[in-house]
Amino acid sequence: MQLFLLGLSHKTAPVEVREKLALSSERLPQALHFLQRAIGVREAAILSTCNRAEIYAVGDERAGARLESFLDEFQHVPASSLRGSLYHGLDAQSARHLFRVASGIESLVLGESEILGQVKSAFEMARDSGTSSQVLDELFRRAIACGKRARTETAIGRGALSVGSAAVELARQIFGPLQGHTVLILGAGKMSARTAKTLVSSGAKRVLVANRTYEKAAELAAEFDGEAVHWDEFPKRLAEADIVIASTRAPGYIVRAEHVAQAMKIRRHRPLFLVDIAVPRDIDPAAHQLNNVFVYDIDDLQGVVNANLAQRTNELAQVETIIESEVAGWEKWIRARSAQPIMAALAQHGAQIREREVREALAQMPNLSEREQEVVKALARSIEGKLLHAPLRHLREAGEAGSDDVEALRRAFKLDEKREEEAP
Amino acid sequence: MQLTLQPYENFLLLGGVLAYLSAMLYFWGQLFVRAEAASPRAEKWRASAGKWGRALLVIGAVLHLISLMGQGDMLFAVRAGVAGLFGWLLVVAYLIFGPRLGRDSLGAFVTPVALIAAFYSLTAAPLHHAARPEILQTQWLPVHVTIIILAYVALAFAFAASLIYLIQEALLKRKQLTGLWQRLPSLQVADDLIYRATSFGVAMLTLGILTGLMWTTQQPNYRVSDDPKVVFSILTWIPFTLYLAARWGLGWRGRRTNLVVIYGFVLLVISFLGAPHVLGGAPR
Repeated sequence: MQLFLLGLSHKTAPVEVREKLALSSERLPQALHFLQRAIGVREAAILSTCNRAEIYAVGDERAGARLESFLDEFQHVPASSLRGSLYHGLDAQSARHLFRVASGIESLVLGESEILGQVKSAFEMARDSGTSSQVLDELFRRAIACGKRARTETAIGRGALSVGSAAVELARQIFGPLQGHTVLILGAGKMSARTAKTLVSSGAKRVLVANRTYEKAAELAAEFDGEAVHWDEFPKRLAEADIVIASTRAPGYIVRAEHVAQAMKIRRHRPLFLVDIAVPRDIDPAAHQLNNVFVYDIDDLQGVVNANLAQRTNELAQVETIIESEVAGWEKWIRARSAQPIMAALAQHGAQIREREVREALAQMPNLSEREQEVVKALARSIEGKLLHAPLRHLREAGEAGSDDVEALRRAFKLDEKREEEAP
Repeated sequence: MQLTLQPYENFLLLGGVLAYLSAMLYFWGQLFVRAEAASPRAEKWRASAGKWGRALLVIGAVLHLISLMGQGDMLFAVRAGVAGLFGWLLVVAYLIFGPRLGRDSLGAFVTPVALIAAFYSLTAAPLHHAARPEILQTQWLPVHVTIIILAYVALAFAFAASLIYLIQEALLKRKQLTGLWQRLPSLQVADDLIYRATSFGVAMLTLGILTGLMWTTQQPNYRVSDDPKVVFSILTWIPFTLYLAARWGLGWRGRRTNLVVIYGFVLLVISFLGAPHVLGGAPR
């Protein structure tokens, strides 16, 4: 019984390839059952996100060898066309890969946490489809635990990694909680919309949108339940905003230092945070010199992001230590599991001998009272227990350690022969 | 209430001062040591350093309180006593309000002020041998002094928050955005604290000066203009009142107005320690 991994990711395959193998959640149960029925694996789980498609399967060597043909037979993408994009894993390798994925260090955005939820839902999907049992249950449980450990014991998931969330981090440092603050968006582009969305979801209350074409402003404002502002009115409305996000295509500065100075007087010098994500810049950087005015351009925000990324990269070694300890735990579990059938056989072997001997002894002494019969039975049970205690414990430990003693004990007790005898 | 602890009093106070000192080191440690480290282990270390700091402050405050009780109502009559009482109340106020205001970072700025005050009261001459002028034997004195001390405590908070504001503002202006800035409260939180503490402080200071004048002017042969202490206390009243006026009237706020609070507090300390009192040895 082995643990196989077959997959590709953003690191090995471009999106044109990944999209061919993406599986919708409607088709996932079908795919899992196909793996069991047509490919012949015993357990299967599929992790399918926009950045990766991975199959985790438990089965014998024959099933493992047939795993690639799933791509051909179910998804109609010949594996031969994916050479170079596919990666394979076996046993601990597969486990290590899943642990790395769950920890977020294989992600496009280092340490992002969405992947952990995706691993969870892949597991739930496999459970609901009945294709995950003992081995994959344990594997995914451990993967999720590993992902959680990586995020709580290291800073791999700390600090904003997008310009938008960096802006939120800064805004919090100026205003504290953003509840009740007003955002003014200049230029109804995609970038500003996304940044505003991050701010609103962090608590910012009111959104004003100004755009050269009023209709576009109204459109974006509607998205936030906000208010559209006519373009030539925005300097007047500047005073209402605590946070300004500018991303117009204007060739020069549209927010001049005088505008800001004027607004600051009206707002009684309460802090004003101006985020300039336009290139060329929209906001005169001279405004940064004004009291309680903070102007950050795209490079400044990128600087914050880079610092955070460097911080996350620093945590990599520690995350890998956690992963290795989790892999070691997994290997121990798997090995202990390999000794289990032999332990069961040994225990059964002992019980059979005891029962047979007790039956024969009691047959020779038909006059024993109930109590005397109990004594004989207890004697036999006690001998069996004491005799087998040490070898059973040794088996469990030998199994965890992966030692050859498991095999030696099997031969010593002639366990296989026994089983064959009894299974006609 | 007066305990008879005389031989031990200074040891208790010394213990309190040492506890404040170690609390301050813990607060500084959690704020400044390896400020850029963001790992959960570093965060945990910071959290426990903050806890140690607060626990040491509690221990210090208890020792300090016992030593203060040993001094009885001489406390209100001698500069060292007033300084000790001020330091103790500042610590207690921080322990009560601190967790809601800027957490442990505020402790890093409040504790040194309390430490200096407690240390000053330790080095001053033993209180028991101080002669107590007749003029100070009035039931007005504890009331007046307590009001003034409450003003000082509030203004010390405003001072600490102003320092935090200036650091945070400088970091945001220079765009140095790693480590320290995330551990300090936001500009707005610091600003609100400065404003509220200064408002309360000015109200208390005004009340304190008025009670002082009411009582001294009842004395025969006393002229307010001859008393540098009174002149100084009005001087210290000016910057804080200016701050409030600028904020209410002109809508000014930010770095420069908060600098006024810092200057004001420095002036207050100088006048407290430096100004002689014609009444002799009296705090105000």
